Amino acid sequence: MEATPPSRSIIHVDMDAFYASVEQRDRPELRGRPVIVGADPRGRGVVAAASYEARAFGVCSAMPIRKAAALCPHAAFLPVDRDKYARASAAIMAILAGYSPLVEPISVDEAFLDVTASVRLFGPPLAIARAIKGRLRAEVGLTASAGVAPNKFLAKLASDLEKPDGLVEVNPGDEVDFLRDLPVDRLWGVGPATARELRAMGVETIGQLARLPGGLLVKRFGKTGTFLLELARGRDDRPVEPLAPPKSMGAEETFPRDLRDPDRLQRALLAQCERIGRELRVEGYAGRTVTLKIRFADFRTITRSLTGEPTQDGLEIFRRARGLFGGLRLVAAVRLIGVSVSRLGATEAAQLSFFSDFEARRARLARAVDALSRRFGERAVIAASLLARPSRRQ
Amino acid sequence: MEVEIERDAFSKGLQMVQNIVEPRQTLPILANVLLETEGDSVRVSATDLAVGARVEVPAKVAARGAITLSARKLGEIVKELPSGVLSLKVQENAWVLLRCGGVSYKLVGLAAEDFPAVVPTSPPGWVSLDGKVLKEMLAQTAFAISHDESRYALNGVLFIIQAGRVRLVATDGHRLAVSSRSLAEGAPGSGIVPRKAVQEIVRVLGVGEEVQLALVENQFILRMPNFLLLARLIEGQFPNYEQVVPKGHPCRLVLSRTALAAALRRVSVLSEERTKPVKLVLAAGALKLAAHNPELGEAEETLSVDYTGEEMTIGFNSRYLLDALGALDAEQVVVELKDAMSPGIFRSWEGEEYFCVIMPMRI
Repeated sequence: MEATPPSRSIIHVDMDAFYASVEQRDRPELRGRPVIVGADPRGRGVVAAASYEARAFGVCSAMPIRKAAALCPHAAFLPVDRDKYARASAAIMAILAGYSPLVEPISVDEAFLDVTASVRLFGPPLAIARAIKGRLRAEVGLTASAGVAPNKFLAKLASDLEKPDGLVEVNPGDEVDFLRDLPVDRLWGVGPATARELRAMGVETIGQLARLPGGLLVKRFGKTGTFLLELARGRDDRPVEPLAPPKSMGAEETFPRDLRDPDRLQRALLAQCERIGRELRVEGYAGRTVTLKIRFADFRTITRSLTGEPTQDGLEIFRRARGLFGGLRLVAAVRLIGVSVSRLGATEAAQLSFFSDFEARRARLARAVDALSRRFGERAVIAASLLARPSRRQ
Repeated sequence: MEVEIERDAFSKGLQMVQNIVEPRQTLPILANVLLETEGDSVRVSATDLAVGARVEVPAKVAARGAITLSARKLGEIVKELPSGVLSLKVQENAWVLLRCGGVSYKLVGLAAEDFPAVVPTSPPGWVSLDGKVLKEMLAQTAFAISHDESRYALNGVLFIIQAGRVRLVATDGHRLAVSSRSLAEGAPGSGIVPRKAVQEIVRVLGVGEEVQLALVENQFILRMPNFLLLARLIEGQFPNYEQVVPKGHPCRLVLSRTALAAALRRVSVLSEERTKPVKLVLAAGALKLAAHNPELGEAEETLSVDYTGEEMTIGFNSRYLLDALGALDAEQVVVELKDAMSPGIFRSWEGEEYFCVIMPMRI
């Protein structure tokens, strides 16, 4: 006997005109006005995002920016401020993470959540979606559209139906009704070409497609045919997959000339460790294992590693790497030196430590340095030992 | 070398040292034990260069000498031999003939000259301690030794012998365990004894033996009649542990150790597996323990306690609490708390011989 798969509850959250909305949130004078975020309107770039006011003029994303300027000349044209959107995105994803461990971001402003197991904690899926929208508005100051459905495909379709600020639920059992009259190009994987072919076969709606005999579609489209038929019948068993953390982050350097001087090797290490620390902080990871890699002039390569408490602090990574370096005998000149940090995980540690105060101070220092680097460039604040040394006068 | 030894005594001696031998080592000879005649006995030594041990087993010495043999194989052989007398005879080219009853082995040995010596620095004085007490003190602290390879100084137990007391301290940064006893006499000294030596001491210590300790230069020495263990002390600065021991915590409660431990075990069944968090809610007259797990459900248990202070909530890794409670032997324990972010102290109702400080978890 085959077990029926348990019914899932998937929410798709999609921010409304994300970049443009962030700009309107931060600059009240832009609210209610067409806002177009993208390239220079006199240049050759494209539209990254358009507010709903601009969309009324026919502007849409990925459109050449000059065409947008022609359609909507009085719009406010703004450059893309990725840092700002990344911060808003992090705040959004943090809210989503509060409702399920299964969150799959698909871009900065869009994510799937599997809330099947969250129902007992937060109530029915529709209530969860409503709560999420409420918190996004209250805490991030942005509106989102959400779709609630038994699978990813339907949830995404549903979130798109009543944009902006929409909320649509497809209940289990209603999948076929929900899809019946939607145009066939709403199906995931049906682009203009496939849509044309389907229309030639007399198929305009998803309902019509669902009634076609399976064999015919497979003959025509191969494997895709089976997949389309499944989707058209409202079936999609793709899981919500949280982003797996990268395995490791590292840096290495091959020297123009082989080196023997331990001071210079350690300076190279320090620069690498600082870079890795910064990268870990940007990505929001901390790592437990530090691995030192050295390749000698004869290409013999050795690695040494040690495992400790998770860290994302460049100086701490360097302290560990230097410990490994100190335990080595440099039998030959060094051609390459590198460090990597692995066994990565999320940063927030629930367990407090006797050293928490010290670690918190170091974390604040790192954040301050990060802010300065963002503003003034990567070399704005660096270790004194990494300053270029003036050549000694004769 | 040619000797006769009682199989049982030899087996016991081998077991006391052969754990020191690392399964993988840089020098082939470190896989071996050294056997050498010493008066009317055979001395068996093992070392991994950081920790070494040697034991003397009574023997009938027909010819003096020394040889090394694979620790693992010799252990396996002697374990399977019947009780009785076995004989060892070194032949040409380091071949060793081992006989016991009708069994005989011809074993490949390695010359004793290359074996790193297990020789103690001679200490200016010894500290005498009851073996049972030392074993208990080590058990009270060893669980808190850090596994963080980047903090070498925490990978062992700090021994401090000072002012008529011996004090053992271990911390992994999350908890700190301190065990101390008074001493009749003893030369002052201190040093960090590596985890492996601590484990070996706990393993070989029986009950009732008197042991002697010394900390000298970079060496820790433990000796019992016929047995000696040496360990290279861990270099590095042990953190100033007294600084993290809180003083004057306002919430103080006294409760039954076994009742608290049993409740923790019951409630933590539903804690998340990795860090096993348990929430403690302290209110007038009651301590509530709670755990939850989104996939499994919730658990709660209330213990009545003699407490009149303000309500407070704090989270702990329940394993840490159970380790601390397991290290206490009194039936009544004292728990001192301040707030959700400050460490808790766990000690026994009577005596100042042991306490454990545990950092909370954010919950």
